[in-house]
Amino acid sequence: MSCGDCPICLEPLDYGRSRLTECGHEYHWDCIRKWHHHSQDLKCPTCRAESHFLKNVDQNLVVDLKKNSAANRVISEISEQVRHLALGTEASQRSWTLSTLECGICGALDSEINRYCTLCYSAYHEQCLRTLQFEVGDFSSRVYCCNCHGTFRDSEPERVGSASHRTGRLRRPIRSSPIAASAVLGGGEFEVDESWKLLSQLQQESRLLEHKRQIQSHVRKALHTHFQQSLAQSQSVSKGQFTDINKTVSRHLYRISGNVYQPETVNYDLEAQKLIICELAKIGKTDTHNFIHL
Amino acid sequence: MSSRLVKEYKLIFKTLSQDPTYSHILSLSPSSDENLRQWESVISGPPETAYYGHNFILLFEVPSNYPLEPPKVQFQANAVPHCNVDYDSGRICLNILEDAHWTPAWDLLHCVHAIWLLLANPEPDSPLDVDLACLIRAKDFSAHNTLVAYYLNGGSRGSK
Repeated sequence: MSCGDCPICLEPLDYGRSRLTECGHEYHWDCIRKWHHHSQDLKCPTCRAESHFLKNVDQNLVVDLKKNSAANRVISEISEQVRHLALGTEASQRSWTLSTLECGICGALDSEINRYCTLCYSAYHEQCLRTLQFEVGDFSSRVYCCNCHGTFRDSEPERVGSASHRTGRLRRPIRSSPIAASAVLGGGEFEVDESWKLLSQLQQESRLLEHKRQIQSHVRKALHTHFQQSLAQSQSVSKGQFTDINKTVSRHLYRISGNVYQPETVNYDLEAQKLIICELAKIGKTDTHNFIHL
Repeated sequence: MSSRLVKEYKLIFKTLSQDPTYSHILSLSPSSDENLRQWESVISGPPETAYYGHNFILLFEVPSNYPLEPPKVQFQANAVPHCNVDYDSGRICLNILEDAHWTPAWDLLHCVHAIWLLLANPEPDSPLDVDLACLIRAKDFSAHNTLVAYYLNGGSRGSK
């Protein structure tokens, strides 16, 4: 196995590259999150060292694994709900009236709870909600209820009195909880994982892909300009070499721009041309005069 | 996850044909072309043990969420006398094949190699065959080896 492959899926680590901060072993973001979700601990599959932080190298963000392991379980519940909505079982969702006065995400029952959904009677820590939205790739400033997706009206934080604790607490009917419903419908743990993966992946990667696509268009343009000229001089490279150059140059450009398309700070056309010349020099085609007038 | 199995298949094929450290693994491949979830392996008995000179067949069943879950491995039934193998079913007691110890960084080749090492290094503290384990605990290795050789050469185990 080469060092550039993810040890879990054995695919090359060319997207979603993530590093466990304790031991430095690298995996795909989805693969390692899925494994931690499955194993219910935060150990490294390669060396069993426990890491509390995971760094996404591509997007340069660090996630606190320990803090979010509870949030993860909620994410799978949400994605399960999304699946149910897609299946058209909205009616059964309505009957799910979660109304405990504990935080719906971390489960803690304390006076720090400061968000209270008036539509479905769910309570949350604001911090938990924001962490959760960050996890699924939603960076907007608005928070909404992860149970009914309703926005919170800006009200005075609900104080949780000890009296209402004992008396005013409704319990969620176990029968209609999303996990139990999925078992009835034949959905398994595996499908929960799958839909969770889908949810976060779609949101994270569609954004990333859009940036990459824009950067790539510059590389293609530069490559085509170059090869139209070299064709006229009957100096051609093979199709494989063409693809390799395209790949290397694009990846380099993603790196230098931090995976975000920023045409005002990076001159993509110029950078692409420079890199193409470098790559051509490496495979022994050093006809640099083609680019002098560009 | 079956794309991982395809990758693993290619990787294992390459390793087995090139790496002499795995020469004791005579084969490791899917049982048939249609089903990538059933694998079969033949290993030779480790040298300097009672198993030397005999070949052993391992049967794999790969779960649908592999590599999150470990593969299910067992020897062919009624073929392997070993203190960590249930002779009648071929079931193997090896910690890395349990959910709690498995990690997705391992592959099927690791499993086969670990089982081969288990053949040479029996672990009498978690036995599936109490008789053989007792002999090892008593450090009576010549009796142990003779008993193993007796079974391997077709000796009867009597009725259970």
